[in-house]
Amino acid sequence: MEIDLSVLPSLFVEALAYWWVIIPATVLGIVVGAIPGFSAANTIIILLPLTLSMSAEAGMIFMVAIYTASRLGAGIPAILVNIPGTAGAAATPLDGYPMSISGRGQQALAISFTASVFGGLLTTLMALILIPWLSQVAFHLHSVEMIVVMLFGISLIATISADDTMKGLIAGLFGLMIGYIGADVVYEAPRGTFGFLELYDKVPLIPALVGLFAISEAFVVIERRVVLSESDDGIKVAPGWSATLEGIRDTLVRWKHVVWTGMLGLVIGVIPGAGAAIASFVAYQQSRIFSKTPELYGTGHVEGLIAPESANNGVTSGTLIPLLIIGVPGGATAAIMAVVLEYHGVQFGPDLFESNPLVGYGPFVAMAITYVLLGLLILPLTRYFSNVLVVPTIYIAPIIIAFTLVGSFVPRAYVFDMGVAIVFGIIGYIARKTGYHVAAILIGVILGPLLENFFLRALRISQGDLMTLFSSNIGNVLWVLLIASLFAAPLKRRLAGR
Amino acid sequence: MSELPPDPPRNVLPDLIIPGLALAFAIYYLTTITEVPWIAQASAVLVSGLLLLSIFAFAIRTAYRLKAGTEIIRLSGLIPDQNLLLKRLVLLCLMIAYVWFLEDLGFTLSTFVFLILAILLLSSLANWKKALAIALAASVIGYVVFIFVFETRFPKGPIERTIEEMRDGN
Amino acid sequence: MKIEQKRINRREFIALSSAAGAAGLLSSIPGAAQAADFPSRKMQTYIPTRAGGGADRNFRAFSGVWSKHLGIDFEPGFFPGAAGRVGYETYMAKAADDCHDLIFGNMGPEVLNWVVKKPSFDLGAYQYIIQVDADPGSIFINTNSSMKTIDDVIAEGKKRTLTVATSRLAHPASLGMLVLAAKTGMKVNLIPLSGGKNTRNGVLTGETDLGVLPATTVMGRKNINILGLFDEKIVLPDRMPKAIAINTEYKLGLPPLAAGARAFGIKTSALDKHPDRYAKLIETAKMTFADPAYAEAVKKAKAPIEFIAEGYADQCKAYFDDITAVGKEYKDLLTG
Repeated sequence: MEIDLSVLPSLFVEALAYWWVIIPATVLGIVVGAIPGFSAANTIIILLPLTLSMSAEAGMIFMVAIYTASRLGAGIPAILVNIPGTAGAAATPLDGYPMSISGRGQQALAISFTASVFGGLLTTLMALILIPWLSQVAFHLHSVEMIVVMLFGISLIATISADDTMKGLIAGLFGLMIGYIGADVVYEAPRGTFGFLELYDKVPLIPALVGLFAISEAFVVIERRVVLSESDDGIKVAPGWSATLEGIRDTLVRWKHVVWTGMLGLVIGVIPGAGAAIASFVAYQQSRIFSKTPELYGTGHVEGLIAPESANNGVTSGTLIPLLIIGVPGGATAAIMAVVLEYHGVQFGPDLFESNPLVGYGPFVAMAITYVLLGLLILPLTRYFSNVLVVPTIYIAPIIIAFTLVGSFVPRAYVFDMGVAIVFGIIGYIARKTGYHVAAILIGVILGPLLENFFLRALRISQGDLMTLFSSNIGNVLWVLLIASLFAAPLKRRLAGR
Repeated sequence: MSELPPDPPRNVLPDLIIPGLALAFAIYYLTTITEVPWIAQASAVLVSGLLLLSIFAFAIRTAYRLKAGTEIIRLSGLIPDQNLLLKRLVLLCLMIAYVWFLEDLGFTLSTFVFLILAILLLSSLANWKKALAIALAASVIGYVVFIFVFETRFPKGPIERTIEEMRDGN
Repeated sequence: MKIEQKRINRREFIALSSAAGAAGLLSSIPGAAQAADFPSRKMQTYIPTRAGGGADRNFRAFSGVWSKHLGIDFEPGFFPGAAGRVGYETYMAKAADDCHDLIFGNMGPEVLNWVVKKPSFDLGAYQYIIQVDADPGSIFINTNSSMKTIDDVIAEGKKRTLTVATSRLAHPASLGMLVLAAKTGMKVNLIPLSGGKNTRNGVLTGETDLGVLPATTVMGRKNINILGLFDEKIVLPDRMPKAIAINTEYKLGLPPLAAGARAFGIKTSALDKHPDRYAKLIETAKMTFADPAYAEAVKKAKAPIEFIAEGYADQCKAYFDDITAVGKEYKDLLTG
């Protein structure tokens, strides 16, 4: 298959024609990203009915713009009040909050935005150039190798997403079992369906994610009077432009730093399961190791703020690559995008870039455009963000519940699916309250049917020979890497603990 | 990201709910695949085996910690705030009622009723005027955006039909 | 534009149709004058497969033009699962029998599915009324395969078991392959990959030796050669230069079972209640086939117009009976 990049300019023009989607999504993404707990994933879920009613292209661009913008938004509370909006911004307050306390809050915001926009734009363009080559890889993957890739996805998510590996594994495996519900692809025999015809075609993903993320979050959030914690008097942002400009300058003179931490984020993002949280910590850590002034980190050091922000924006494009090429989402938000795109009949795989270039390349093009718009939009708005944090939960929780429940009805028009959302809401709530990661369950639910399909297929092709799992060279290399990665994390922790 | 209280023995009982659910489901699942050919059972058996193994490991760890005294199991103190739990249960019932009536009452009406009741519940009946205003605003915006403009497949009830007839009548 | 007057209409028309008499065979009801206020709401169409598949493609092409002649829009709902079973069960359980609710599926695999395992409803409770295409089943192969002809395939299949990618086990294309294997003594292992795209990719990645699918799904694809069709003739010789007509060449004794035979179906009770509406559906469907815009729409959907097959209740019934008979004969192979 020859690689044709000449479609890209026209794709940029086509994607630009969706400005009416990008601009509101950008604003919305920033605002919602700033509300702790309401990550990009949750925003997309809340707006699900809207996304589903758009075309696949418009829906994709809309989601990507929200995703990108909310990444930036999440930095706001991280810097101002020491509460990261999402896990991906978890490393941001390390140096952002100290800056804020010392009265350089707006400067810190400007640094974070500039690093995000710059890092994000760069890695997005890199992804665009690399993806045709990367997609060739998928043409060499058979069921046997795909089984290991799926296990990578599930294992990494389980080990990384929770602070407690054992709980992470239990959540992930529980998700996998739930994902196994439905009729199998070979014999069409219903399994684990509780007798419901509605579950023959697997657990419906949109209700599952509505329940796990939105409804459980609504249950949790009503514990607090406002979305933010009760005592949030620390929000102080000095008005005026000079701090903003200074922040931009601070970042741009450290452009090399932005570039390499962004690239790090991109690479980590491509690995299924290793999301923004790990990328920002790795980038922060690496940045400190290679710094000439490691002692300044944690005291409000500019580079300590650039590293996680550039990296977690690099993840944004990286995480979409495995999704579009082999259908394995790189992270929770990508998983949700997968669900919506599947609803629109988009079939992932290397030929997506030929059969539907706007959906294939579109996300990256849209992302690039979003970053440019973000740069223009967010910097002047820096001063007004703090107000977002004090929305009373008594209003927001019911609205989220109502809209997401109806959103889970839309794809199949089954009342049953709203019941599924409620059941998953309860499971998700219990999981959240007891330290199990809902994202691990969701990834399991998504990867379960894929894993099982490939497994069944491999066994059918080999006529029931289990040794087929170790019959391919690529597969065997992947097995070794998988086992290494499984043991690396606990080993590292043990060493670090000493 | 709620912080768990780090200090004296942590009650581990709630942490056992998810493994319990997972275990029950895995066992149920295995009972439904006894009839299918073995290659269609293989992956489920493998995954549920791994699940059982993780739960077993988790149980051992818990036992170890119970013995060490860092974790305990007790029924009391499970629910820190009874009032909040009650609210959550009523909210859950409201959700079920919402789903139940949605197809007959249509999106706009049932959303309005649900929102007003839920807001009153969460605000402990304070400020019904604001509840009314927000419920009204949200359901009207929902109607305009999702049904009127985007024509999504939201369930339609008396309100939606009346408006459509008025539209068609003109 | 769209008024939901379902209940009122239903009552009115029960009266109307009882006056007209409960007609059993409906194709001879003249004129559509009585059905003047039909359709009165969007035509809900249940599609028992995933959005974006072959049925979706054909549905959009046909309904896009049909809606002009019928004067109302079609709204598809996709209900995939268990080889179409979910869609049909949902249709039978939820659809109103006022002729506004139709099902659009691929008769071949879906009827074969009933042969393998009966649905919960009576098979006479629905019938197909308008067939839109006849898409022959094909055997296709990766261009870099060492096998270049059907004879090569058979020779190789006598030496070892060939893996054959297919969309589903109970599918006319699978059936054709099994019959060919049975008649020639080669060994095949069917690998159901659910859906045309996955099946194609199974062959493209070299995971399976060859594949079987409706021809439209593989025609003109890069790195794919069509070696033969399960048919008595090659309709489009220039688009598949290497293809031979397997049914005649190897004397399979099979009727030409189109692997893609998409058709609209409806509840029999709807036909019984509203013969006038049924007549209007048929009349407007005929206008659709005659409309040049339809051929355009098919072309635009990248399906060859040569595979358009205008058919009504009689043709559908014949297909239904044929595939049921052949399916019963090879039932054991289909479930393996």
